[in-house]
Amino acid sequence: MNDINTTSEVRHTIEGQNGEWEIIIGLEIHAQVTSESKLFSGSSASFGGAPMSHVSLVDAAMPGMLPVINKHCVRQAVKTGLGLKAKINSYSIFDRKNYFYPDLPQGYQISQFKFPIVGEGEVKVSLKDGEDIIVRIERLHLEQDAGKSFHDIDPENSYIDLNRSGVALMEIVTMPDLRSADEAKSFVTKLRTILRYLETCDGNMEEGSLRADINVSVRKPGDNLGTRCEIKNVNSIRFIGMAIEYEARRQVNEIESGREIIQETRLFDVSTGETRSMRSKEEAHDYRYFPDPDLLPLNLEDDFIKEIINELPELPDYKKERLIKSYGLNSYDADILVSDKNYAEYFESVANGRDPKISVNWITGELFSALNKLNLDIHDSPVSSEQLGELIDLISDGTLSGRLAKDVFEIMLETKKNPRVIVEEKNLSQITDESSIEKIVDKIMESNIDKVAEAREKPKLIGWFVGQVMKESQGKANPATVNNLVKKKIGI
Amino acid sequence: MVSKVNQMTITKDTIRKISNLAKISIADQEVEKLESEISSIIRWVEALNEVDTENVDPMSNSLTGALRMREDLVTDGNKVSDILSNSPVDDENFFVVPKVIE
Repeated sequence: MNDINTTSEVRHTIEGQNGEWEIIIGLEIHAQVTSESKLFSGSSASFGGAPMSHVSLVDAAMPGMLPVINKHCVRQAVKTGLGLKAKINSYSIFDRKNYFYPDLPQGYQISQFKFPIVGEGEVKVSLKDGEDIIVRIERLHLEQDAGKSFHDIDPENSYIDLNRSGVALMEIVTMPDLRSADEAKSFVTKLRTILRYLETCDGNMEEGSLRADINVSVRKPGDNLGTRCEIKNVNSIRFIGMAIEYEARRQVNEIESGREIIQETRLFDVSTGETRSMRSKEEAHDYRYFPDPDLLPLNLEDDFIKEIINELPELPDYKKERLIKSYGLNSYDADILVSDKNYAEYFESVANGRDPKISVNWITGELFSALNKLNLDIHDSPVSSEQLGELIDLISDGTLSGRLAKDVFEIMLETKKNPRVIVEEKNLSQITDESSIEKIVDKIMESNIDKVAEAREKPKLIGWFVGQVMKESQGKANPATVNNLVKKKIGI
Repeated sequence: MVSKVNQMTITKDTIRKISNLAKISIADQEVEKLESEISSIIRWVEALNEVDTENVDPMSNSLTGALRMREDLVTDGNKVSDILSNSPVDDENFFVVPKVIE
């Protein structure tokens, strides 16, 4: 526990009363495995469902019931391990982690302790300042989820639903390689993206499919690791950031006030933004792990692993590299596009045979802000990638100016019509014919003779003329032609 | 390796800790009796320490063979009345237990 972290470079500090402090963060992510049925029983693993409807006698831990492992969940864990560039362990063991809680009918959770299915790996995380860091993964293991307790239905009692009991989880443990709330948030975002590419976890944090236990400690730069506290079960990326910031500040204040940090489990209170001690559990942390006698060791054949390797999709890091290479995108645009594989897919469809930069600008600009306003995912976009491509074609061949294209795009969002149809129906094509534009320029100049003289002194007024001409043409005049003509007529 | 756990002693505190973890309440007068009983069981088992287990992997299961796996199909569930049939208290298909909150 006390080994000094190998990444000794100090990336981030917070200011205390007597100097700088470094925050050391490690995460344990619980990711629900995407599967039809549970890890050790044939009942449904889907979210929701009427209370107790997704429960078998195995999940309720009735005497004599035996667990039988779900092959797909094993594949999903291996696939995730490969996506984390991790070592796949062909031999792993299921252990019982013993504790009593009303939503854990077995009295133990089937988990993996000494021999997890996946060993060390790594995740590359791009930070906001453009720098990349490597976050080492310590392990990934398979385990069962517990049931759910409700404390707010009845004032005297807790209500227990076992629908989640036995659902497969992957616990993904990082090394203490993160140094700030922002780094932790970026890491979880990246991990979620990888899981979604792999389709091994839907990453839906509101439904609890992805939750984090956060280990936080502080130290003076260069010192050994300080005593850590573990913040349990944080279920949104924003809350992860808030919890870390609060907890690091609290620890610095404690130490600077001459108190010691007590290793303990804490809860993040969403309503106050604070962490608080879960005192009751402190003494009970003795899980008495032992191999589950109901389950044999899990041996993975080489062919089983090879088959999964062959099924791996193109992962975000590789996709990013390819987008940069084949489309000449910058790292920033490529990061946005690969953050969701549907974005990248949409982009590649639009950019097929078209200017990649114009394509990416339309997608991350107009399209994203429209989807944001409409609160829609990209696969529900009212404007298809083919339609956006057609719109870009109309810009490229001069039919539409950038401004007109934006108007057409608005109509596309509302009507879902093809841009060519809209241009025809509304007679929106751009006026590129010079003589027609000249007529409008002349008209504007004739009615503003004083300003023409003024413009010879103050060339900035050219912009005003261009604006007037564009307005007169209802935005249809080609702006470059207008600009040239105005300059020529004024004589500069 | 051989004698690492030879000196294992069971104290009254150990008994109380185990009973607490197991959520089994034990009266004070029972603690003393259990202390001597469990101590003698441990002493008996400690005979195993005489076996040289250097270079022997821990055994996790007494059976041999591979773990049998099943396909990912929903074949069970929707038996709410069976699940609740032994429950002392239930309501709206939930188990109802005395309030537990951290």
